[in-house]
Amino acid sequence: MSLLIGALTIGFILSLLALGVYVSFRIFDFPDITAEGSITLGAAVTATLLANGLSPLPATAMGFVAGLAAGSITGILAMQFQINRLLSGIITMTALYSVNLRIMSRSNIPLLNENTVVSQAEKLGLRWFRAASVPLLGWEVSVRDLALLLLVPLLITVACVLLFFFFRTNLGTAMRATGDNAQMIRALGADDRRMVILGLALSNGLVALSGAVLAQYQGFADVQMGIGMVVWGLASVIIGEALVGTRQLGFAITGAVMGSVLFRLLVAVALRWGLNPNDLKLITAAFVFIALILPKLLRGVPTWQRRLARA
Amino acid sequence: MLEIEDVYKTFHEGTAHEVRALQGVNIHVDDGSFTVVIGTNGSGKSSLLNSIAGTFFVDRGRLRVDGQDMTGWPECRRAGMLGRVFQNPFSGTAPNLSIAENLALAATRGGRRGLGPAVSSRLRRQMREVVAQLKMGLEDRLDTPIGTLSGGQRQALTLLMAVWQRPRLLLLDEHTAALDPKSAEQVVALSEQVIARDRLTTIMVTHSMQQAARLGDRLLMMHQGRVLLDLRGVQKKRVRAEELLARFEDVRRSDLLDESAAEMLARCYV
Repeated sequence: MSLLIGALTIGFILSLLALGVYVSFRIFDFPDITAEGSITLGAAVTATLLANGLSPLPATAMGFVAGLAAGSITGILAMQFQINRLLSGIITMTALYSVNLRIMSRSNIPLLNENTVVSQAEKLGLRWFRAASVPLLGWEVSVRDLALLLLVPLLITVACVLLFFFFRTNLGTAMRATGDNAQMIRALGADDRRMVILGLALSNGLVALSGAVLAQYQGFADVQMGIGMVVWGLASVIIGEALVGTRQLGFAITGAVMGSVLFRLLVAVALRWGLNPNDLKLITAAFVFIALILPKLLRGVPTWQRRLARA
Repeated sequence: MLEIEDVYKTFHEGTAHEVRALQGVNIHVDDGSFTVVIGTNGSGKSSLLNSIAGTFFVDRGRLRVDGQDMTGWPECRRAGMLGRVFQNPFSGTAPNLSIAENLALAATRGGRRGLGPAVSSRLRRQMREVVAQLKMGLEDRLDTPIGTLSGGQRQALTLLMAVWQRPRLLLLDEHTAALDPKSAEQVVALSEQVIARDRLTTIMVTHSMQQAARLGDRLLMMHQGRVLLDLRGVQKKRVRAEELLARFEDVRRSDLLDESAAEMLARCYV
């Protein structure tokens, strides 16, 4: 049971990553790989501030802000300096590795004894339930896990609602149009370069926020924690699109969250069944590969059948 | 109103793909005039519109609007006074955004876009009214993604978007060339209607001699990056499509002569 609750909670935390990937990959059609560095950046900034005694909410917010900065750097490289989009992300990501080490001044910061969002949630849980663990559907569940399972989705819901309304403002609509048809938005008087920079900032802000919360949940920030995260987020987005079946804004946002949670659950089940954790990234990559080519293969089926019928 | 002075533009200069698109163009466009531009492929007629819109910066020469020098203005700054419709009906709209959202972007053309809702209920009412004039039944489908509409419908909407806020100058770049005959006719009729209603200063590039003869009060024929023919007033009114075609034929023949003569010279002397 606690395995299930843990998977759900991490799925919700990583849905911020999925939303960030959705913004860059889907809304702006920008294959932004900065996320691998900015998720660690969010974790590193927040963990360092927490270890220095800053209270949890401002520390988490600073993680988000650091992500904004990282994203805008990639945006400036790609749009102002006209560097290839993939390369811009790689440059920022590589630089962030050193930046993250500098911020943490070592490769790992433990947070188990710090005052974090998670320890706050645990306190809140103790006050609500007045016990260290409560029975749930016949299982003993610690109030820490239960409080987090209630609070994290709440945070995600707030983030989703804000994101949804933001993308329906004048500015947000112009940003979505930029990814859709840059020529059109220039003709309507928006600076498409500025739009992309803003969009990447937002995307990486979300990713860094995800990292900030994840570090507090797992109890440490580690310089390696970002590896493979872009593909992970992309897998969530693709599953989400398959679940909701449309790319309309509201559905797509909900889909990204659902995709992230479902993907994390599938992974938890697979690990439970004896999947070697070392194979996880290989399987994630293979999954994204199949999901990307599947539509093309399916489109090819009718012609293939025709050919067969003719023969 | 618009002054184009001695404008030059060469693409891919010094390479095998060098294209001398504009070679000393001088045009003064009067306020409220409707100029039609024709020319063969590669004559520079689309480059002319793009140089005005700021798709690229010109190599030499000046562009002035209402006395202000806009030669160095980026595209998005010029957009504040320009309405544009492109040849490709897919170029003027964002396919995954709804009709209403596309129109809302047009309603804020050239202005600052802040955090207010893009499609307010007042704007939506206004949209229903304006879109209903198209008589395409789109007023009840304001929330459908614009990418699901036909080319003709999208081009009609692009035109509405271009004139939603009255532009100082309307640029139409072969905007009916990619449409089927019936849609093309509808879009031309709509263009005539809005241009007359708002008295818009317009420059229209077209491939159709019929349109060129019938529409507008001034006609420019471009060839090899220069203005070859400039008809106004009575001359423009009298001109017929057949004459324009004959002019084209003349131009083409002289081109052929040039080429074969050059070839002969090359054979004899190189």
